[in-house]
Amino acid sequence: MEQVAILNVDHLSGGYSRGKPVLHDISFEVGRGEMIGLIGLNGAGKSTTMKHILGLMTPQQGEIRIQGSTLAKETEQYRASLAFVPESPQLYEEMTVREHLEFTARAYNVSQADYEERSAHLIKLFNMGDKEDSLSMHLSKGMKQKVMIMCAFVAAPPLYVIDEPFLGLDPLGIRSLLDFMVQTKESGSSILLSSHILSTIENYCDRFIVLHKGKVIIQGTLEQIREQTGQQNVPLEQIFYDLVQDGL
Amino acid sequence: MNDLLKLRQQRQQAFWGEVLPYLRYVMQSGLAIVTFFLLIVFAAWYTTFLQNVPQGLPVHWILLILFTPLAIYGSVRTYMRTADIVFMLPLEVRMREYFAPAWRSSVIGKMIWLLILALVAFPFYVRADMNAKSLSLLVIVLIIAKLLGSYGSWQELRMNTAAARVGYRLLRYVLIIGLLAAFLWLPLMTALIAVVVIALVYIALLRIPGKASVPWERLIATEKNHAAGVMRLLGWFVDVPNGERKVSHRRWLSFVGNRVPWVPAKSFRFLVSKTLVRGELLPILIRFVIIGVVFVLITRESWFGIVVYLLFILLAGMQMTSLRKQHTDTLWLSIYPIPPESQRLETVKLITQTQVWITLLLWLPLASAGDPMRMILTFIAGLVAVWLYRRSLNRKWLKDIEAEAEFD
Repeated sequence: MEQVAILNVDHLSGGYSRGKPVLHDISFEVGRGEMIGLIGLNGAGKSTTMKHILGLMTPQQGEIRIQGSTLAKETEQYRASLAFVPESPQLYEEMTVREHLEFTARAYNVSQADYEERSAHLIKLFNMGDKEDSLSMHLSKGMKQKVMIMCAFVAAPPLYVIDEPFLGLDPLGIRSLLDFMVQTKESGSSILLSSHILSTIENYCDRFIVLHKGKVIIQGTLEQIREQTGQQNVPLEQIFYDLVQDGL
Repeated sequence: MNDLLKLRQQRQQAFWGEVLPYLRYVMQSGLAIVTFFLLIVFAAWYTTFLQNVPQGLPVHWILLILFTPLAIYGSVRTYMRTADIVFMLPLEVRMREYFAPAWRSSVIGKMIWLLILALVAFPFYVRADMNAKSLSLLVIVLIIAKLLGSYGSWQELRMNTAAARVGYRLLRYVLIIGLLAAFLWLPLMTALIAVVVIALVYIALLRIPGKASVPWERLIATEKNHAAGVMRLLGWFVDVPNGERKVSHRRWLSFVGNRVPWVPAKSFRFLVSKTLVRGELLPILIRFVIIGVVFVLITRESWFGIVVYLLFILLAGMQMTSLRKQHTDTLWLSIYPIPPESQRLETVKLITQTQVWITLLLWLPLASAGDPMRMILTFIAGLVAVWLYRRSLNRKWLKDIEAEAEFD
């Protein structure tokens, strides 16, 4: 089936200094309603790729488009099209859980009625009912991560960029998140997800992009990757291990 | 790590080594000239004031208000760091070596300020109170109050339960105010007996609650607040890195910001309103306004009162500029679809609105003195000061944005 791309990363090279790019000519797409797993070892360039997509870093070469718009030309449209869940929760200590959701909803121009409905659903789903009026500084790391996830989902943009979302989450939280990501994807939104827990995401992602030393070394569905590597009926984790071992 | 005394000294030097370079810029910002000018103006006014102290001034109340903050405030700079909870825990039994000099230098430092205040206020005391006690007695009582306040606040940090810490903090406030009041109001012998009794009762009461040998987490959190306080103070004049911030829930103020219009352009106002009511700035402003009202009240009969009024309005504005710096580096403002200029517009608007309220509050003591025309003109001058401050804040912010854009 022909996918309509929500995110286009086209020949992206970039990094922290011009002479030493971290990313080398990366290209991939995320289609509408797709969940894509971005996988790689520590330092492979996953977070740097995400930072470029978020506009926190400027590409040295190449272009990134979300629904056709670029950050430089259509800043607000670009920003309104994506939500981000960082690896480490970053919350405002002076705001409660509910206020974080409200701040996000206000920023993303979510109507008050939609905000009420979505926040009630998310608070229940992530079992945060007794913490909604707590200041974020009083939450455990797992709870903070849940707030980050809820903030992204209350915004309901077309694209989610999610970096290592399972860190610190309890098993119920992981299940709730996975179920909600599936629902979100089925409703037409797209997810770019980075995780080291390959056995979990193997069953949830539609396609995978394997980054190694700043390059895309393989991408496709699990079946396509198996075909390309000649490893039938082998779990993703094993294929990934063989790929990066060979490339080390 | 074994030489704890040396370790603390190294940390102290490292902290002040970081702060001192900024002081040059603080001085260049005109603070030195303004302080010098104000000292001269104050000295001129105070000399005139002492020559003709108005009858019926509530001298005891004025002295109590002047001495209480310095006597009660008992912070100790420990320079402790987060990693200490791991690496210094094995040395817990020896931590007295580390804390003793910290406590000593803190008490001596604050005592010097208290004694300077006593020396400045004493001429007023002897002229306004026929039964004023001697300077030496005043100094001794202030030293006792300061020692008790510092010892008490240190013991509070060690207390195991939050209820005990809050209760004993209130007790410290009440007993030290009571001690100073007893000295100021009561006849000499009764006053001295009251001071001794209060001190002994307080020391005895401090022995009751259960305490931790070293309250690691609280000490580290308190130290972060102190370091952030120094940086915040510098932040009035120069750009300094954001430190840790102390946040309190203040549920009774949770409604603030909720009525901000529900549009992306105003969403930053929602955030910065919460920052104002839950951060350290609010109690600072409240204390500042109370002190301002007292100063304006004391000086309202003379032209110096107008200078004090305008000065407090400007200083309140300077304190609030910390709001500008609290969200400069937050990830979400770079990612959320919030119009870039809304951060500046909404922060400046909130600062101006709060400053107008402060202008009004500081004006109240003036409103009941002097002729109506002078009253009204003073208030208008206050509003003009707010407007000028807003203009300068906006201009400086825009200039910084331009400089950043050029750098990028």
